[in-house]
Amino acid sequence: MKKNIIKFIIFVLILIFILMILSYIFVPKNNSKEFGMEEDQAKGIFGEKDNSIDVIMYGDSETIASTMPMKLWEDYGFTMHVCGEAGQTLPDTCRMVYDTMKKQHPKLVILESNNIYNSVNVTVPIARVINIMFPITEYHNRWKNLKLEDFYSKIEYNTTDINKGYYYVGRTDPVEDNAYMEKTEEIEKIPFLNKLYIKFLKYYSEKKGAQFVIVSVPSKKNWNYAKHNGVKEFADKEGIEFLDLNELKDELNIDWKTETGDKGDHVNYKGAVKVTNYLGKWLNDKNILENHKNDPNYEKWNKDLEEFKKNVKY
Amino acid sequence: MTYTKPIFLVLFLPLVVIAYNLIPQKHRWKVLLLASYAFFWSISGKLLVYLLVTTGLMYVCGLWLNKKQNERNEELKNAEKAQKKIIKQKYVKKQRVILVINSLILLGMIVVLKYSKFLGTNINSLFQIMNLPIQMPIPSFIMPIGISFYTLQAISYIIDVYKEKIKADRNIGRLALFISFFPQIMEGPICRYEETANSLYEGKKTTYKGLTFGIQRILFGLMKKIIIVDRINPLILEIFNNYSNYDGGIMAVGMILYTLQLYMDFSGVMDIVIGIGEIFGVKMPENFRQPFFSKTIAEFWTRWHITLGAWFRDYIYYPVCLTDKCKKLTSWGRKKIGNYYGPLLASSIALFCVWICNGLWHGSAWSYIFFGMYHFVLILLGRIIEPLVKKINNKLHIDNKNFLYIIMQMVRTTILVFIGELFFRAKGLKAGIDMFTNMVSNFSLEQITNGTVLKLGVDIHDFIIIAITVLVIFVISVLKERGISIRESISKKNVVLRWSLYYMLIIAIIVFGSYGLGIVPLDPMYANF
Amino acid sequence: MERLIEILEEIDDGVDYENCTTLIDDGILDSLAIISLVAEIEEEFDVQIPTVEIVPANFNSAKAIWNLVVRLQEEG
Repeated sequence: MKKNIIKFIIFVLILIFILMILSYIFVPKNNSKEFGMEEDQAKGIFGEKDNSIDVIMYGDSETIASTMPMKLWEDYGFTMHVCGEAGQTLPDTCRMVYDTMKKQHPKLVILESNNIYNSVNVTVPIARVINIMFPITEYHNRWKNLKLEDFYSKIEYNTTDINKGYYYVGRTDPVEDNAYMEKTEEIEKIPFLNKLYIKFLKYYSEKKGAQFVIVSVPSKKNWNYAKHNGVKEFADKEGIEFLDLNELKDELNIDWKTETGDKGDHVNYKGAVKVTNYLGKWLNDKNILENHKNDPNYEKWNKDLEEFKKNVKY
Repeated sequence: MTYTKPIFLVLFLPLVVIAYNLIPQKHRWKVLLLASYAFFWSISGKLLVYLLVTTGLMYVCGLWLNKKQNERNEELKNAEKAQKKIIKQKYVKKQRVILVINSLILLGMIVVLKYSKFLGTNINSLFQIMNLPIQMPIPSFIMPIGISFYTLQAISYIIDVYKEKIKADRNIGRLALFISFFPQIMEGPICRYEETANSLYEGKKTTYKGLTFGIQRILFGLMKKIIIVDRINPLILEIFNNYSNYDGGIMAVGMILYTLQLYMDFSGVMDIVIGIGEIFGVKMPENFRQPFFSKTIAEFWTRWHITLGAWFRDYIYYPVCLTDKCKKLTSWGRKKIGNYYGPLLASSIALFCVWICNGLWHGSAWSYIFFGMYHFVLILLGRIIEPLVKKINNKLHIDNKNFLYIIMQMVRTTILVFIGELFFRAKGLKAGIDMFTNMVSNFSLEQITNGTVLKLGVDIHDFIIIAITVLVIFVISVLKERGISIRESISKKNVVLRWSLYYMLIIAIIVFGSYGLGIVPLDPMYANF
Repeated sequence: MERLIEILEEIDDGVDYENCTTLIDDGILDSLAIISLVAEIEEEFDVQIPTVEIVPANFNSAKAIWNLVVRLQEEG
């Protein structure tokens, strides 16, 4: 009996060893698509200079379509990166925060509110933990395009994203009317686990010296007043600042006939300009961010801005 | 929860195994029963009540039948020889009443839950054709998981008690476990009372061999599922949902790969399920025996979904053949058309009943009835021309034990099976007919050679992995056909070889498995029947 | 027993029924043959063979079949 237990333990140890070696081989050695990294726009942040990003926005596809960090640089010299991903759920947000705040110490961490109401099965975070412990489980599909370099190269992330995480949506796909956000007393309840994730995000951001806020970017399709009430109630209780751009529709004036590319699911580039302008003013009023425009350390940002303006017309 | 989800394999199953072994032997069956009800509940929730009703019904009717049998035996003891037949007939009648009540409730449940929509829709169509202005309301029910499987097990129990093959179980706990055991509830195998009831109740400790062999078998089944079934699925969905976009060659590809997918899925789950049984020291019957080595369609159904075929054979085929009317038909037939074709009359009637039931068992749709009739016709035809084929072989001096001849038979049978599965999977009978006509009249290799086939969700790398895995499984099948037990022979080899094989299996699943972001795994296919 | 062997030979005469003990296991008697056999035996020997008795143990050899017939006759 004892012999069998010892056999079993040795078997498992060797297995773990094999998995670690495989993980090393399969992990992308650089943070771009050619090297096998998925979602390389968000992960462009890993190539940025340490401690150079002052604002990071996390969340699902609402973040990447709506906010143009390069415009903030142009107007105010603020350094922002969007680290949202399509379909990012709160457990993934926690992981992204954890990974990105190793080399960055932003002053402000923004959570976009859309994934707050996305309920996630409890097996998801468990799977993520296994992904982190054994990256082979995350990158195993790379067997189709492993390169010789994967077997001996070191991991070095030096690719950056010119758009700083923004995803350009050029098309227009209109909605008939602009009415949404009818006022109501209803409160949509936030799933219990999600509350825990948000609490973790607040705790971790503050531990790393950042202020944690929740922002809701305009989305006719996904947001309503009941959700607004739900997040406001939670944010007030936890002492989190909550900026709902859907509520400020008169100030922002998003025209869902021309400023959305998918019938009100997300804003398109025109809407993104309005959102970014508002956020820029709001960030500026907070008086916590520096203007890095004339700092020679941030020269690359000016070059990126030139590239950006070639690709994104606004 | 299903057998291939991590929450089952990594959390539920280990917990049950540990609890089972920590508890003293005479209470272990309770752990299994509790786990089985928890498993059932996690899938079907309150519909558990149907399983409980079925169990209660079996228990009560079984004991009732036994009571009547005992009464009869008492009367027989004191009776004269002349009276015996009459007494027996009297009690047969009494028992039949019980059987009828039992069947009405049991079959009533499954007919309503599973077939009422089909019946209702067709009756309404009939009304429309007859220009009657009535329309029946079409109810829609959710079926409890495994109802098609546990109902058959329940029926086999009651009939075995009626036939006095087994004694009714006085222990409702043991009976409940027999019918609800969680590895078998979703997709079978369909077990007989004398096969598993006592073994489950015994509570044998998990042995080292049981655990290791069991885990190996589970991993093997998991490999089939996660490397082949899930990987192929996008292609199958694309071809069967949008078949009008593709030529005959792609139809053939879809047909062949679907059959592969079905076989891998069902036999893979069986590997997992039987492996779980081994961990608990319970030997469950096999459901597959290298089906594609069959020489005839009739043989195929003794090698594919074996427990279902055996059930139909024992509870429909022979009972129908041996009814008085059929026996008379057989005797008459033998006198009129000879010893071979005579019994074929009764046999055909029985076969027809079997295949109607087989088709309908798979689902309440015309495509399934067609599937059943397709195989019925093939088997019947095979029987009818068998004497003719024997004659021809003799004249042409073809030896039916010749290797090439056997290969020809296997290939022919496999192709016939493929065609059957095309209709089985197609979205409805009309789609099946369209796809088949497309394949036959519009056959072309163009979309295969021009690369379209690689754009349906499965690329060339995927095909290579599938091919390699299929090759491995083929080699194992050949060895099994020769009677070699793979796990036994591996366990005799030295530790380096053994562990290398285990690591290769585990690594193959982790690296080449189809899982992760964006992959939607397929639920076990037979669980829907 | 001789009558039984005659019946068996009427169904399939290429078999050595005196000595063969694997009639079912080797597939020598298939399901059609069994149906014929059962119908004929029941008529000839005035017994009723219940389906539960149609198992390999009872049909693998002529001797086994005969034992079955005798037993059923005694049970009445």
